Amino acid sequence: MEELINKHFENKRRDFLRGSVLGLGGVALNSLFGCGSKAGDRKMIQQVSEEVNAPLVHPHFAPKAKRVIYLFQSGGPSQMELFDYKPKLYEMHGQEIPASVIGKNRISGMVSNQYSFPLAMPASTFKQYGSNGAYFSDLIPHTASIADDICVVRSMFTEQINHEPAVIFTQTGNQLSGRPSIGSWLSYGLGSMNDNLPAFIVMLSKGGGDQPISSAAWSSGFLPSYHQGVQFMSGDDPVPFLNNPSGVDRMDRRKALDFIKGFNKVQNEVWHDPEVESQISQYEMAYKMQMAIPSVTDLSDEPQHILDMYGPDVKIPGTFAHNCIMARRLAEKDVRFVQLYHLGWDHHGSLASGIKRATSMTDQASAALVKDLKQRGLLDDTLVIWGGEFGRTSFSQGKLTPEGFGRDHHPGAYSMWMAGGGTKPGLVYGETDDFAHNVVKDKVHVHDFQATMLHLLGIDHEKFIYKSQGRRYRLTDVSGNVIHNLIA
Amino acid sequence: MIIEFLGHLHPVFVHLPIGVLILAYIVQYFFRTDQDKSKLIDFILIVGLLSSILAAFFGWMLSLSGGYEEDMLSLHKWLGIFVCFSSLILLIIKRIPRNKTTNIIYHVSFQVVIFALTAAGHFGGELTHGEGYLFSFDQKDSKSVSTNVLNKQKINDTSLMSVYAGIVEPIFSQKCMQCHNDKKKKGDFQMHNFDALMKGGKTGKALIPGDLAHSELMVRLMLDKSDDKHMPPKGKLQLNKPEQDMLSWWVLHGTSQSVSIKEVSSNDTIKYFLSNVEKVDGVKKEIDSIAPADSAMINNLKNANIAVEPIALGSNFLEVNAINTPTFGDKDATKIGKIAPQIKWLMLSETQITDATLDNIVGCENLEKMNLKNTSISNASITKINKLKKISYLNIVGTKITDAGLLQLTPVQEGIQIYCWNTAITENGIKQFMKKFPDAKVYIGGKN
Repeated sequence: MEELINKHFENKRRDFLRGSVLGLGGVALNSLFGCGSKAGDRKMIQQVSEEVNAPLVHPHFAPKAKRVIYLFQSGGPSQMELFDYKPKLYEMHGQEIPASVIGKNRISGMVSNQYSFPLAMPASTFKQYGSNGAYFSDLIPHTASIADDICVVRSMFTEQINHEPAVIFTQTGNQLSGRPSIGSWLSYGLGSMNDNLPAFIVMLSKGGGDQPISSAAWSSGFLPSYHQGVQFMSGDDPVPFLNNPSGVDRMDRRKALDFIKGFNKVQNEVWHDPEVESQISQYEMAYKMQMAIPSVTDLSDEPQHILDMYGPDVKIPGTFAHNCIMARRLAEKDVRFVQLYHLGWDHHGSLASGIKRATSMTDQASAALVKDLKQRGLLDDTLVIWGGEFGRTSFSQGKLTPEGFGRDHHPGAYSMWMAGGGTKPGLVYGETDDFAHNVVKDKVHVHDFQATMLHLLGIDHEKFIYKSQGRRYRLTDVSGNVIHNLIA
Repeated sequence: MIIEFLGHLHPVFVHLPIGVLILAYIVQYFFRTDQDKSKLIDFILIVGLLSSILAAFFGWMLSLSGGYEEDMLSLHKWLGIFVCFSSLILLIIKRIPRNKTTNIIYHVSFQVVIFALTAAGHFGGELTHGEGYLFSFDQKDSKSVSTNVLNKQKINDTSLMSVYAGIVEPIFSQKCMQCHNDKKKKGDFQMHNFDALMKGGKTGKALIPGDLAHSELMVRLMLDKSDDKHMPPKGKLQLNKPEQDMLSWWVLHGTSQSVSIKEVSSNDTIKYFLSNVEKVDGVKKEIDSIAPADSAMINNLKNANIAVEPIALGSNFLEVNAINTPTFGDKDATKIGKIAPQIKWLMLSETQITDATLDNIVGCENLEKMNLKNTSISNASITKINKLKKISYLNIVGTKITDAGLLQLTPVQEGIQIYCWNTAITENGIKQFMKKFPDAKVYIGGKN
């Protein structure tokens, strides 16, 4: 307590000193030049102070996308089973992966003590779809059916080989937790379009897999904490305690909140703690959400044929399909950033059955979301992103048996897709080698992807900066190139 | 290595003798009567002499690294050496006892030194910045040497001009020819014409048709910026990604001098490059050709809880969005009419508006996107929508518009997107509409 009070006075002292130094400096400068400068000029000198962090409010240039729905597939979906057709793997099934392919790439500790690295034939077959004849696997027939609407990037690569750092890297641009995630950056930079809903909403689907995901992935980092993702629960009540307790009506709530706000304001004058402001704004948001949420989460107004599009799971709260239709409803309400996480793509063993399970839970709903957005005219300015944190190895982890084989983490090459929001529909971008191990054409680094996403949102990633503890930060840190070829 | 380093000191030291000798000149003629100044001038002249010798020495080192046009270089070199000698002679004349003759010789020599100094400096400047630098005021041209004026012609995908002349050469001209031209040839490499370009430089051929990995020029462009071999060197204007892609394409496809832009305009790389010619260097802000809207009128709408925001920082064009105002109705729409010309995007979905609202929207001459989803707009609005010539996105999902309405629609923009899911519009109606407007994209979605 004592320490805090001291800190407060220290602040005041510093303010005073800063004010007087600049003030006196201005006067001194004035006399130095020997002639009285105009009052306005003097004021200018006094105003020179540290640059202040200020949100953009408006994008740098006219955006193509106004919202983002990010369908994060956590665990590392295998590119060879889904998007990246490699006929060589069927031919060379069981043979060792050539050493020249692995080269100096790191392999994880989970397979580094294997004596043999036999190539594993994909547990799926491929066919061509769409007007460009892009290859998609039989595991994802619904995604294949929207081949002409999506833009598949087969040349992604990342720097991280393990889940947590790789997820955090994709979501915040840095492998260590503590930086703001994409949604928080946008909530801070562009703000919310809908007054009654948060700008950044997170939904986790249940029943996916055992790899956990940490909330650092939707943290606001050093940004004010009301920019962190608001997580909807995956039960019947996505937002708990929405209804007022019996005997308390909405006006009572309002009065109580105003009273608490009064206290908070008094405290804020003493402590100057941004967290107090966050608290005030979050209470207000909760109050507004009491009204706004029921109309979002109540699916009873959805006609049956729409529900059918998303698949049989859609009515079970917490499933990926349910979250997808919720994401569409939130996009209709102009929520800036909706982040879904689906776990269960980490197939170190029994890949064949595992990936079948994962795709059966995600394929239909992902495609339905794109179709549904499109027919409502929302895909034009809503960017949908589907992808994980890294790819998987073309060689088998463990013994190569038809059912039991698995694939290990592989950061060197993986696939993802985007749809709408100004991306080029029907495009397949980038190429990997015959073993889907190394990218051979049009590499896309995670930061390149992030820079491109920000570009679609009208933001120059190099000018979207927040200064914290003496260092300037960007989502793309010090790298990232906009991949213009992905943009329509 | 050491020679190069010493050479690089030339620009550092070269300004010393210029300043010092001119100072001597000023002291000599500004204070005509003061006799004590003689010692001072001696001192300044000695400093000037020594610094001019240093500068000349470093300059000689720099000339060894090559890359300069010989004629002008030798002129500059000899003038520099002349400055050294003449200032030495000047100093000696000044030290010998004065009589009328030596006095005249002294003053004449002083003028000669200053003249030679000026000339040497001038030609040095021409060597570095290009011939005619002093009197060329157009920034771009002075940078990229008089022989290669930037191609200012507007290029588009129907140009008959060759890819080389229309795209590749202007890129080189803007970003490379400052150092690689007919006068100055760093690394023995010149880029001012096709033959010189293909000939290559000190390290051999710069371009090998179809082979990026062995084309030295491309390798250097792609190297990391921090690499010593990266081109253009640090601090010079860099090539941006579309330009790099464009050059890669050109090299991969055989570095042809003759293939025309029109022949290859269907290629994605070319298409992208052409569509972005004017904004390749970062993203330029849209230049607003419109005055800002009346702020009182904007506030009027904002007070009614309607979002009115510039579409981008600094733009006068506006987006109007009624997402927070489901009660928005025809009466509120009258407020829109006041800022009509500035509105580019208008989002009125899920509101209470009727056909009467469109009367206030017809003035939105710059409107590009209009969302009327789930409102009770009907065919009566179509004639008013037809007055919006710039519309390229029209969302009439869930409205009362029918096939008859769709067929009345006369969009001006090719490729207009029309969303008409959940209306009475039928596949058949769309087919008929598409006969008239084959480039339009009409989305009817799934089963209604």
